Amino acid sequence: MTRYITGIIAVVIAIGAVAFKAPKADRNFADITFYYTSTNYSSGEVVKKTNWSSTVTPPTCVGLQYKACKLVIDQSQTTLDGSGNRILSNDIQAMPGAGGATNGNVPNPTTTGYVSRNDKP
Amino acid sequence: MTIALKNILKFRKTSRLFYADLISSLLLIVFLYTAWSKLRDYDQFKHTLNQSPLLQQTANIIAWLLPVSELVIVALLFIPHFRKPGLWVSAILISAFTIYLTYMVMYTPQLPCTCGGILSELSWRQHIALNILLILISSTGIVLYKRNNTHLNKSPP
Repeated sequence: MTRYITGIIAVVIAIGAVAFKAPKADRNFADITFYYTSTNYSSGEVVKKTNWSSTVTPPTCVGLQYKACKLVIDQSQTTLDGSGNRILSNDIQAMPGAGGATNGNVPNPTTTGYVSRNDKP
Repeated sequence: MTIALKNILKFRKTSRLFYADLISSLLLIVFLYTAWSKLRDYDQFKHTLNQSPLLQQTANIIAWLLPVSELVIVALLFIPHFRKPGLWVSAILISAFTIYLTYMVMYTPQLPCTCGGILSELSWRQHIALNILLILISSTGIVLYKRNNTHLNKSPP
């Protein structure tokens, strides 16, 4: 029975640690993931908000590489369409992918509300 | 065997058991804290898992399976009879975390944090270092329990 004492003390400490956690500063967890829906990767197309959808089946996006694929953006930069789906409020900015603009463009990190992105190889 | 020698052996055995139990308790605190944090901020945890390129497809399952697994480990570490297997399971789980973290650090440009509570304040490399430390602590606990059992088996009736 005495060997339960260390366990009981541990449980009390853990509960105390969770219960008395300092309040967090405001952090925005309402990020929305959008996927690029066009097969045209020119900068003129990548910037268009209508080419990004939050409701399509996620394609395979692998990392920061050549072509636009996935964009995670702050919810405040989105709005609801008539069907209740999230859409981008505004067009975004584009930049050449790793293979240069002729091979494809990707979202520009300076876009307002930009959280992260993954691209296509 | 003299009484003094018997007392020394008994003291060593008690010490080993005490330190092993202390290690179990330390890991119990870690797992209970992280499991609770994940369940309390369940939506955030699921969201960050969804941001992980490796876990996207299974994020919904992992989001509840992981904290439940951690709570199972907590139960194992709490009950003295199951502490040794609890340490094994915790070492295996932390090793899996560490492999995942290392892969993410090496191959993924964007690193979403999928940890709970105060651990989310750590950088990924700090998290890997902490995990390695926890694996070493678990291993030490396993060795202590093992030596304790060996000693018991070798003791005369």
